[in-house]
Amino acid sequence: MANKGKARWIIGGVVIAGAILGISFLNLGDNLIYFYTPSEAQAKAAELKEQTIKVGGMVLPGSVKWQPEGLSLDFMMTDLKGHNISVHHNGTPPDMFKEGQGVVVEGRISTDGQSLAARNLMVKHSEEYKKPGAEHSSMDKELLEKSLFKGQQSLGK
Amino acid sequence: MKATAFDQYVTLVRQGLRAEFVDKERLVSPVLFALTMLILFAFALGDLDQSLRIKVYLAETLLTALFALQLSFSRLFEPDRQDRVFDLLRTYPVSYSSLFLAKYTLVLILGSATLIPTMLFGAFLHQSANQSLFSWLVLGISILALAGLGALGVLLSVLTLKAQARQILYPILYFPLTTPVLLAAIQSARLCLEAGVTSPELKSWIGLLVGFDTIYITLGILLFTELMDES
Amino acid sequence: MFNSEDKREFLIGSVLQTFIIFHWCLAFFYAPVDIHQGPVYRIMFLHVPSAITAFASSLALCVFSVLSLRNRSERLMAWSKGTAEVGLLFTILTLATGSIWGRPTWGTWWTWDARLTTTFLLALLYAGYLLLYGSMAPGPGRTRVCAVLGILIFADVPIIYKSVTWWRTLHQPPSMIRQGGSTMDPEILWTLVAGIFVMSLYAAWLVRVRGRNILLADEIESASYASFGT
Repeated sequence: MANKGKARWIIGGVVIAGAILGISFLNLGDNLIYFYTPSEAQAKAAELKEQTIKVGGMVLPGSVKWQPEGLSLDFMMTDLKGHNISVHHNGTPPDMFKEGQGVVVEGRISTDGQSLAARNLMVKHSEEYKKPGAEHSSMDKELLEKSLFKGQQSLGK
Repeated sequence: MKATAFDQYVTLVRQGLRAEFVDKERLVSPVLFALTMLILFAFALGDLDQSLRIKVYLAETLLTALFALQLSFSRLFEPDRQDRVFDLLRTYPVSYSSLFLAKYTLVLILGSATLIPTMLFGAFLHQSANQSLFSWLVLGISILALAGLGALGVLLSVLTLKAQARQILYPILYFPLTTPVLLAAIQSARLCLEAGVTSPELKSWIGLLVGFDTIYITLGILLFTELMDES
Repeated sequence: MFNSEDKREFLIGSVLQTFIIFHWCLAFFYAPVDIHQGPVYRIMFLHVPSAITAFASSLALCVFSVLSLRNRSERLMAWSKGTAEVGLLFTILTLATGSIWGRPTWGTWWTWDARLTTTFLLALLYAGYLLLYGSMAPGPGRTRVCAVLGILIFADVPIIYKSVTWWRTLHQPPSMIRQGGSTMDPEILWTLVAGIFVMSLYAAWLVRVRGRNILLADEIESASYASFGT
């Protein structure tokens, strides 16, 4: 009786381990949280144009145009290295959305990679703990960029 | 001549179905509940924006149906409690995996009988000229969700068999434990309706749903047999 | 009035209390003020250890559950129940401190980020476990059922955590702990480590006290039934 139980647990354990490994190796979870940088998205725009993708960048200061009557938002998303994408979104932006803020947009990119119709707009923050005495009091720009772009990896070759 | 595990399984499924059909009210109440909720929602919410419609459709149909089913899950072993069938089954050398799979099959059959009509009727109520809420993939996703939820449902049903406060106890255990399946199902269905079949996220969520189902069914069988084993 | 056992428990408890007081002194005076959040971040020294303890309790619960299935021992039921109670306590503490921390830093009392959501679900599971325990008659049946539930809870928590993470990562407000910990200044880090250590010890002691209480209560109950027949 005990042996039969043992065998069952071993088979069960293998199946469960297999499911977990399958999930990790297929990068199923990662596909959900990673996003393209503007440069990556522009480079791949031609092959990505039919898909809904996620692109992460920073809101270019001075580029935000918000029309309350039509709930229409337009802004430029940049990777601070010269690659800019113009984003259009219908609907109220999230509370923390402002210029210089890190954002991840979800939507369809145009064939030329210059503009994106966003279906979903999310704000991303940096994460850090520091003692006072650093040079500036606003969120550390480098860390913000790092946290934004640490998600950059080739999404499913 | 001792019956093989498969014969036991078939017999138990037929016994279960027969027991269910005896009390027709038990069969029909989840469907009626879900359909009533759909009509009430339609009255309360009226015409919706396109963007909202998908989310509301999923909440009304998938979630409502699953909630209604949860009520019948908790009473899965009720027929076996009558005439001490459950105790008799345990004294007979029945394969516990067969018993689990038999109840699980019952769950899948009866659950689909509730889930599919609800989703179809909901799609019908909320359809509009430029947006169709009917999708074979979404129906498939809801069956996949049922697969995972049913496994835990059977296990929890046995766990709470002798407990007193089952009305509150069952949901308080059931919903936290099945959160991953619910999340994966809702996200997949939403992405399917919103972004279409090409979305890479959709493939991820469906993959996760299948993975979770595998884990839960396996865990369900393992722990069920562990529970029933008395040595 | 006190027998030697009670005196020993009292001594252990007092020592642990002084550890806690020492840790609070560290948290308030040794750790510096955070550059972005100001002094309010100090609640992290309560929040993070509580969270770790709450989840460690689920591991302990699983271990006790597996043991009680193998040994068929009623005593382990008492320890399991004590662990579940302590787990519930620290889960609620985590949620409360997390909520209080969230208000000034994120602007909201609650948000569906992965950690808070999982902790909330874990609280429900502990409560469900205790409900199950309370609604069944004592005996080997209850021990087995609760043991299976204990294993199920522990097995499911990582899956819940991962699925909620994948669901919410991009919506997440600032993390409480940076992945590498490398931007956390040493004083802060060490105070945190001390806190985790102290709180785990305290939780273990609570489980011990509670487990012994339950065993005593069971003994008294069985003794009272036994004397009925005579």
